[in-house]
Amino acid sequence: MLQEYMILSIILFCIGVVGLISRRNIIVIYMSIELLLNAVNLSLVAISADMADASAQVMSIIIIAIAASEAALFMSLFVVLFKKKSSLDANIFDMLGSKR
Amino acid sequence: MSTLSILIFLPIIAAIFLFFVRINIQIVKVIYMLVTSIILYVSLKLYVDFDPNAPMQFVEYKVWIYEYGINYFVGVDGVSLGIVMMNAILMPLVAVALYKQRDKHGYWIHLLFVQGGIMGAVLSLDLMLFYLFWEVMLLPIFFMIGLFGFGRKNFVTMKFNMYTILGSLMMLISILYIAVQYKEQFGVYSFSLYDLKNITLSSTQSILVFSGFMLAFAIKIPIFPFHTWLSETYRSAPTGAVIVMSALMAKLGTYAIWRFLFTLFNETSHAVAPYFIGLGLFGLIFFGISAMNQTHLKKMFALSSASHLSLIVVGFFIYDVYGLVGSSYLMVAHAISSAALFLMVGMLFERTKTHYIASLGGIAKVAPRFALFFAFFALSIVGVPLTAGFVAEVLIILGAFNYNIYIGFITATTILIAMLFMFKMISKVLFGEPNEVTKNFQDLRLHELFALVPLALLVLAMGIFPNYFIKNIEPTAQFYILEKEVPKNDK
Amino acid sequence: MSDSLILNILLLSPLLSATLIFLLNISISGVKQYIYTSLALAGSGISALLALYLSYFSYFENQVFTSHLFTWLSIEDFIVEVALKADALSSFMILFIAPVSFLIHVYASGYMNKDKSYGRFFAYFNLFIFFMFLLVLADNPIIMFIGWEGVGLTSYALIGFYFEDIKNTYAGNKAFIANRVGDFGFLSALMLLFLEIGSGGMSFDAILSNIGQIEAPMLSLIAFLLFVGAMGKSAQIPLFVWLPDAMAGPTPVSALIHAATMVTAGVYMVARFAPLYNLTFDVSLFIAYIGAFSALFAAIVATRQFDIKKILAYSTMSQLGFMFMALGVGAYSTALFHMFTHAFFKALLFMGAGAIIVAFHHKQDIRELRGIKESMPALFVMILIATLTISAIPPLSAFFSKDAIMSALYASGHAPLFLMAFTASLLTVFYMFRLVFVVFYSNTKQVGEANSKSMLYPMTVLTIFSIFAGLLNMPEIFGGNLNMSNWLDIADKKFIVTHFDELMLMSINTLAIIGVIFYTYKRYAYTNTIDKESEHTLVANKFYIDEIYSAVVVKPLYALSILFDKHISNNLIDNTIHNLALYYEKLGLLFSGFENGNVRNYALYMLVGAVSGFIYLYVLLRAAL
Repeated sequence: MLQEYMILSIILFCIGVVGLISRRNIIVIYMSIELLLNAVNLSLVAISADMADASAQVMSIIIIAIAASEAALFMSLFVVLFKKKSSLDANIFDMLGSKR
Repeated sequence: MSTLSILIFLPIIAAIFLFFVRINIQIVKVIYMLVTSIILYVSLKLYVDFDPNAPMQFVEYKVWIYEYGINYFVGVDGVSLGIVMMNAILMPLVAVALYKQRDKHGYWIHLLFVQGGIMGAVLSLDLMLFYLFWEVMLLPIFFMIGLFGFGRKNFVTMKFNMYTILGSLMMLISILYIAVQYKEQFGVYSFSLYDLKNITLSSTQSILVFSGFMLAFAIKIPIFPFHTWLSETYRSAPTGAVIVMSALMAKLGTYAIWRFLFTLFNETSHAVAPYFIGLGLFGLIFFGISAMNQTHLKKMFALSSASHLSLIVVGFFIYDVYGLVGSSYLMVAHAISSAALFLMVGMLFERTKTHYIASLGGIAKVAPRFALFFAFFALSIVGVPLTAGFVAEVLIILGAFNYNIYIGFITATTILIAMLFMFKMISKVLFGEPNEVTKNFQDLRLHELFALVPLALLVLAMGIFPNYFIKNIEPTAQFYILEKEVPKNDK
Repeated sequence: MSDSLILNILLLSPLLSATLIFLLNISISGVKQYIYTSLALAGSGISALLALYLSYFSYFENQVFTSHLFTWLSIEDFIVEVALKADALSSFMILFIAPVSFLIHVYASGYMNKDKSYGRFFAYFNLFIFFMFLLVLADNPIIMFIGWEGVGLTSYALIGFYFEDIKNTYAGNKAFIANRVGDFGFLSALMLLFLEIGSGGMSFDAILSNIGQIEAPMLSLIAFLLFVGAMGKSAQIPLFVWLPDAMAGPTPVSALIHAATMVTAGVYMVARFAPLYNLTFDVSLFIAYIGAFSALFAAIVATRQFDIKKILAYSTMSQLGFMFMALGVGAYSTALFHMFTHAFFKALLFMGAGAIIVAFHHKQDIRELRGIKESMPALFVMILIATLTISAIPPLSAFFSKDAIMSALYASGHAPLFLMAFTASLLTVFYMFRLVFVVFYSNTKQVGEANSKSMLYPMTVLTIFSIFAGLLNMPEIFGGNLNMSNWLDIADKKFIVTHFDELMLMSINTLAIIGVIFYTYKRYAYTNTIDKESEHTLVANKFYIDEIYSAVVVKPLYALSILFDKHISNNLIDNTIHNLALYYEKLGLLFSGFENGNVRNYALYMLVGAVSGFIYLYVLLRAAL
């Protein structure tokens, strides 16, 4: 039973990674990050159920809470970023780079 | 707190206080004057209480980092006393001369900071402590050039900093290496100078470690061929920084050779002495002749300083009592003269907005007092009799002749070298008819006279009554010579 | 008054007056001129009186005055006391230095009248006297060296006194630099002397009594280096180039410093070290030949100069050459005797030249100063007497001194020396009378301003001295008993010349001189010969010595400076360092492309990193699985 959950989790994680790397829209990138988180959550919950230990489930609930607050933070970031450059293309925001 | 700790920490604490408490610039200047005056007073008291015949005095020892044997260990002897006094005397006078010019908080805060750093580096007898202060005194200068300098100041201050830090890191590695060796040989860590000198190193080890230290000092002094940061840095540095660099920090390099290298690596120092005498003599002539062709006043004086510092290095490495006393005396003498000269160059720039020799001229006609003092200090650099430089040069030349007659002759050219560029510069800057730039040149103002007169009197006093000053240095030098029992070099 | 107090006051009163004038001059503007005058005259006058007092007791009672002021330096054996000692030689030196200084002070108060830098002039002037006294009164050579450099320094300040014309200050620079080249030798010699015998003390007495301990080659080296110092100060070949240029200073300066006192310091120094030079024959002979060449060279150059002061400058160099010839053959007191008479007549000549220059508004070219005899008769008489004196016409003072030199050279057996000296002395007559005849005996007439009395009185006094100073050292042949030589008691070499030889020499000499005077009269008096003489000959251009020095010394130094500064420092060392930094930076650029600020790329790197980590772990753990 666990194996199927894990495979699902891995599939979700891979989708998230691919989305993170290949998409340029910041909102989509954010969605990919959420996908990554949820993949981890899923595996945590599955392992917890399998081992009959609730602590992993506690952890995953905390992660969900944090992800929710992150969502609020991200939304405000999107607004600020969009105000700055009128775009949400991740390639535009590369000020940390060493381009001269 | 005891005397030496006051000298080290009062300026640093004052600087930190001023850094955090943003107050009116006038109050900052008052606090600066107050602190440096206290330091001057304490140093004078130190000078009076100093016993010439005792080796290391006013020693303070406080445990700091016990496990690694790093302690707060400071003390003063005849040679460090000279630099302490110079540090204490020059800092308030700089402020007296410049107080109208500089209305930036940072300028004064950095100067206070650097004063404490230099005091610490001169007085510390613990290598870790020394390294700490050695770096502390560098940073304010870095910021001063970067913030208040001229020309390509950012590039120059970066270059200076990189250069110096390269040297200091090598020194740090060397310090750690010998500390580890000490641990292996004696079972405990210690960074105290007097403990570390007991370790035995193979000749290869000792030469490597020696080079690590020497690189730091050679860059700071600078010795040929580590001098290329010098003239650009002096050119870009603001007056306060350039005075600190030429009068105090460069001397600290030579002082550290004496204090640390000669104590730690006595035999190695001896083995390599001929090379450094050679480098020093080459530098003496090289920098002197290089200065002949300079068009920029500060670059010329930078090379002139370098030339004299090479002479100081020669005096130390000659390693007899005349050379040691002469070099220590020249450190002090040259500190006063070069500080005064750079101060006057600062005044000159403030009035004429130029540093170029060719665009000046005829100042003696419009500003006789300025010309008088400028010529006086320039001549004291040349080492004419009745100035302190003459005494020191005679002693170093004597030591050099004692070492070897050919070395003696080359060293004696020092009385010719400085002359080559100084007299032409004096003629071009002070004499002739005033031109467009200098015709409204304002003569020295009262506060500038207050700064320069004490320096001039000190130069004269040190030239006419040298024995009074040298009797504080000589026993220390004697002590070093005796302690070493070095086989005397045959002629 | 105690002995030491007299010496101290003698030394310090010029210093005190110099300091007072200096402080007044820089702190208050518009000080009345007479305040400066009285201060300056008081300073030099007091020391002149004390100098006479001192030499009186030294001469008649062989009294030696000493004074110990303080210890200058004391490090191990190197103990230098600031001590003064007026033995016979020093007393003799101040006997003419102090009065001549005082007289030239009086003269200068007229010459410099209404000059805007009046105070500054006298401050330097008195400072000069202080250093000169220090030079001759010092009891040890280190303190003497301080005086020695000090006179060079004040001379520098006074040559460049009119600094508005930058050429004057260059002349001052040249003088100081040439002097310092000499000082380099002097200082080296002192260091070697100390290292050889210094532990016995550094006073002259101690040194001279110990020189026997030094090995011969070292002794020769020391003697030679000391003489290098003398070359610089006394303007001998090859360090003479500064003296003609030094005439840029005000004329009283030329009279005092570059004729009567400072330039004779080299002679004094060699005489002071007489016992040393008696042991080094090779160096002594070298000195004699340098003196001879200098005397001849300067005399030749002087015959084609047109600047009245330059003629006198070369004449000074030539006369100094005579003195060094005498020193070289060991006739020390003879050299000193000539120095003594020379101080008076040469100071007089310079003062005369200065008086003419003032009267004609700073014209110095003898071609423009023609026919001035009628307008200034007193000056004419004095200059004529001085010229006759320098020509060694009996019974004027220089006749005795120069004749003593000639007979010493004759007796020493060095024929080339004697011949060169003879030629130079005839040339002296020629160029001096050329000056006199051109300036005073001319068809054209000029009228200049009258000279002030303060200029003429000192000249009158000096004229009297020039005539009678020879009495001090009358040779036996004229019924004298060489008082001065006996007083000085220097280790002279004794030359035996028969009275017949001496008389022969004198008469030949005198006849030749009179012949030359006639020839010169024919050639220059009331003619235009002088206008036909070209300024562009080899001789008039001083054999292009300045140009040669410039090409051989100055230009290479500047080339070396450019080589050092531009090529070695900048191109070689600094560029290497900059290039190192540059390559380091380039290396950084190579990797900085990865760091493009694009978050998605960073995620990719993370992925690559994580995957490779997994692969590594898999390979590592495969065996266990």
